[in-house]
Amino acid sequence: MDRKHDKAVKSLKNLLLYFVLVFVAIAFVFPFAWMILSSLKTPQELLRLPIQWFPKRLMISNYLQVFQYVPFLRGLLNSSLITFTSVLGATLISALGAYSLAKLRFKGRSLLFNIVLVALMVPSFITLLPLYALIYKLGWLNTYLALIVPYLGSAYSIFLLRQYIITIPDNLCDAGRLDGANEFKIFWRVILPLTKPALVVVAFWNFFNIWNDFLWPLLVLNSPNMFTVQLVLSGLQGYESGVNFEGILMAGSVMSVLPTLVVYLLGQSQMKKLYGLGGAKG
Amino acid sequence: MTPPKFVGIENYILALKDPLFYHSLLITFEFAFLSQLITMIIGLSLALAANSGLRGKGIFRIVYFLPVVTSSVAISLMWAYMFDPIYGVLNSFIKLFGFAPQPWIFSSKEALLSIIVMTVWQWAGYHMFIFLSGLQAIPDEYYKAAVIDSAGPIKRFFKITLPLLKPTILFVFVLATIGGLQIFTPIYIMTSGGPNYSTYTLMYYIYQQAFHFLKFGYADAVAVLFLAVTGAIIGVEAIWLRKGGLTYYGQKA
Repeated sequence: MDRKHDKAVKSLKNLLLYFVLVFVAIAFVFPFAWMILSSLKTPQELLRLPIQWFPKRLMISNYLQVFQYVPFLRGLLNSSLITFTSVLGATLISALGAYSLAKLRFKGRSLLFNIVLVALMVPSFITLLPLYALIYKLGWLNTYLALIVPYLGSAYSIFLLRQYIITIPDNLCDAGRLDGANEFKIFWRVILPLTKPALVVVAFWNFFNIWNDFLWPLLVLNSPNMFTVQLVLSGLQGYESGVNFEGILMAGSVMSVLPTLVVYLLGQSQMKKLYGLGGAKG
Repeated sequence: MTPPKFVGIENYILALKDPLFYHSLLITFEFAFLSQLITMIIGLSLALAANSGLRGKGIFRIVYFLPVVTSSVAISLMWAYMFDPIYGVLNSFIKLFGFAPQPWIFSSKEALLSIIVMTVWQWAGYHMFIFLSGLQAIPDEYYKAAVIDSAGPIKRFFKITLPLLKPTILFVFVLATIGGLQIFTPIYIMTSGGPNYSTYTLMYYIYQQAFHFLKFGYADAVAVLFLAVTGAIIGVEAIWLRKGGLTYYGQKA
């Protein structure tokens, strides 16, 4: 009798939990759903009151119009080029740095690691203006270099990878050394394959940060053919302010979000490890 | 850019004399504190709910994390549309429940609060994931022992979960404060600091000074002052949490 009662209480509790979780999930998905629905409505449907929830016919032309208002394709290509190069470069460079900090013995190693830790904690607003001044002096404003080079040094990536590589047993490196391999070969053949899970996490992390960044491109770019997709999208907002324009604006938003959503959903199984690494600090 | 000229501490004095600087500082901290506090409470609640051995919790995790990987520009654009006082979907919702329509980001009273709501939505999933990994690191034995000692769920939460989660809470709190203080994109896209400077956060202030009024040195001085205040606040937070700010429920952890 008692056990039966317990079971009933438990399933009631679970039901309540499900209810809360589903309710919250709807709140999380709704803005995305609303963005997609609105992107398919005609201007008349957008201006109807009370609100018309679903479009009668799908206004695909909203999507095509985005390309007529702003150089959206160019933005997508710029963002793809910048993101691809930076993610690849940042991951590789961070891995090299992390390997040195984790496995090589040299003078000033702990000082260098402390610098990485400080860089991790300094808020970006303090480095933003000096970095801008540097890029200006180098004559890199409005170039791809301005959008690739600053992303290559990532304290967060170095830190995460260093914490991972340090757990790899030293005797694996020593075995390589006995076989006459140089440090780079050990890094490339022994360490890198073993670090793959952490590398994937770092690559994802950098991908989202770089693709979604807005402030930095806003500062260093001013010619529209260099704009990233985020800048192009914010420029689209400037064309018209009426609600009847929201269909086109939301169509642009959908297209800018799509690549990240696809990467996120494809990388789900790998992403799980990201959360673990994020919390392991403390 | 004009060639730099050494002006000593003049920029700092100018900043400290500008009422807008103090106003921005206040707004920025109000935003960071409120948004991060609410995000942490919701994130922790979601983590506790999703950690309770339910079936199909994986799908919830995927859904809650969606806004985290989405760009702030797109999020700001879709929320700005939802906040529209006449055609916005939020006012349609609250009308269903019998509330009066609100002006949201178009009133100086509600603009900051509206952006806080959006920010909580954007980051709650991230906080949930970090808390979840913290929760999963707590050994089951503690809870089993507590059950044998017939400690109820509330007592278990305050005596086991919360004390053991303290490092994670500290980590999230510091990270979130730094993040919250740097709010820029939603302000740029949705309100441009308005209406009537009610969302004029420090990042926006620095941006305007440097890139609209071209007062680069001045903007930099403001950034340094901002860093000093931020460092102080984070230090206090850390001490506060260490010294048992979290132990108000009774015994020291």
